[in-house]
Amino acid sequence: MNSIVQLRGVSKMYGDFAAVDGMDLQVAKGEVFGFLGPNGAGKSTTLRMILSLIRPTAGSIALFGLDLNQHRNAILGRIGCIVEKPDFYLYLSALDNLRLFGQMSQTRHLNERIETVLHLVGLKGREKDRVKTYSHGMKQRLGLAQALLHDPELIILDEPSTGLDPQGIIELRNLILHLKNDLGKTVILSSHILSEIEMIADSMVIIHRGKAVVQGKVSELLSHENLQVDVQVDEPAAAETALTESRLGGLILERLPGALKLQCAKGDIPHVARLLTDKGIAIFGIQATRSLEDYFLRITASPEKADIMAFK
Amino acid sequence: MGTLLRIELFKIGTKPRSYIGFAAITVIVLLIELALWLDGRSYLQFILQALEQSFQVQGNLLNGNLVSFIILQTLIVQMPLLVALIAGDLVSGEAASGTIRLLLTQPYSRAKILWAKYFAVSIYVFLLIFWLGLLALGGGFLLFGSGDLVVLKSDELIILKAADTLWRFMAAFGIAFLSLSVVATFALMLSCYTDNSIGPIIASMAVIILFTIIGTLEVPLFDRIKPFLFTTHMIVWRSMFDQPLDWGAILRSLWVLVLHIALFLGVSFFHFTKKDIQN
Repeated sequence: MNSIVQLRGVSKMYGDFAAVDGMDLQVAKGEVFGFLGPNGAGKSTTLRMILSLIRPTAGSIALFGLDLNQHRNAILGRIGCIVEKPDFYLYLSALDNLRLFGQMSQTRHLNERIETVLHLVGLKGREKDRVKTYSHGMKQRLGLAQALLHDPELIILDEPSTGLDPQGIIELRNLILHLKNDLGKTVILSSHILSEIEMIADSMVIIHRGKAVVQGKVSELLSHENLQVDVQVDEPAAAETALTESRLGGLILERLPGALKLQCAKGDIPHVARLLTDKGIAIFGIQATRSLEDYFLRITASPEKADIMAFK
Repeated sequence: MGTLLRIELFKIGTKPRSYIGFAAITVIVLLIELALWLDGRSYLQFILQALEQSFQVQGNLLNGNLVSFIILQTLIVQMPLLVALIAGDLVSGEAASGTIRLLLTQPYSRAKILWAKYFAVSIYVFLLIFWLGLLALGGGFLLFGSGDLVVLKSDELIILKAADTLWRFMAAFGIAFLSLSVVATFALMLSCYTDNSIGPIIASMAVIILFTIIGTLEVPLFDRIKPFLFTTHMIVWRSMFDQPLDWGAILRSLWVLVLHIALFLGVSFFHFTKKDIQN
């Protein structure tokens, strides 16, 4: 794997407390990588160590194949980030803030880049307003503009959808996919909105109590998980009989008015659909209700019982 | 470094609080000059009444030199607060507002960022002193003209020829700059240790007041520590108006001030370059 970020045995101790405990992590070039974990799990500390805001107590961090300790400035020049929340100089305008950070990040053709990112995040026309007049959502957009300003290869976004309205969240999702698909950027995304990760992340890690308990491709991780699936049919009783008579009978959880509730792997859904169709039962809809959220809760509720999986 | 310095100066220049110092100096200096212009003769008579029994005073004693000296003596006490107001906010203000996270993820070493902040606040201190000098000397000579400078000390009376004063004022302003640089680095050091922007400003002033009180009290225990307090040496600018000049004492004080700057900067760099940014 062509790793753009690599953590090996990274720990951060505060006295006897391990905020991050022997973390191993790899992020491949050109992917959207999701960071998941409950509050206090060590997500933020890990991201801050990657950005050299916090020094690891042990272990090594390499980005772009370079050791972070030895090549800190060169590495940071290739990263754009929002850490925790986008904070700016409130007494300055958005334009002045972008100019200031653009100069610091040695952005080429700064004025053109500022125009581009302002259009990209939808802040054009408000750039001369002082940031203190901005709503949280606008600051979040400005944070994205700042992170993208110097055209970085790696973009680290810590909870970027916080404060955005539904339209803003959709735009953010599309922007991240645009960054990955059209511009070939690598995006590390930390979010508490699990559906966001599920929808846009290629790989993910679940962090709990400072350890990476699960890491791998989102599709592979979830394909191992049982989903709760509501199959809406015209004849639930007939559908139940059809499934019971086949090898799929064990999937039935309960019969509902107008539907069957199943517990099955993602790969079972086409077989169920085909069987019911062959039996002449009309399917009005199939809705999977169990996904990453349940998986996440199961893993973080009892990580010691969870299978430690790593799909490299 | 040039880019960082320009940015730090831009930030200081666009902060409203940066102008409090200039406004305060302008108001105080103009008030003193106005008061002396309106009622300076009686003020001077009051000061010199004890001397007039022994000396015959002739000529214009209320001149630009004396006015500048009075202004310097009055304002130099307040200026540490004006300096701490800016220097104490340099790092902690970034931490309090959260911008430190953005600042420290830029492709510059933390040491360079702190150097830029130190140089920027030094330039600010220089401009503050320059403004004070311009208003005091410029306004003083404009309103009161030139003349010999009479410096009244507790145990002696020093009269300096008019032609012999300008270089002494320049040197005194230079020493004042060095003294305020100690305050600036002290506030900067405290600023590196906290995420609260008011704390370092108040703490700097509290320490200066405490040290000044220790320096004023005639207690044998305090006599031993007085030479090590930077506040003891911050008033060495007054020695530039002695006759003859005690260069040994002046240089010794300058060295102590420089050593304090080096110490405070050293501690600042040590902490800032290793500090975990957790807020």
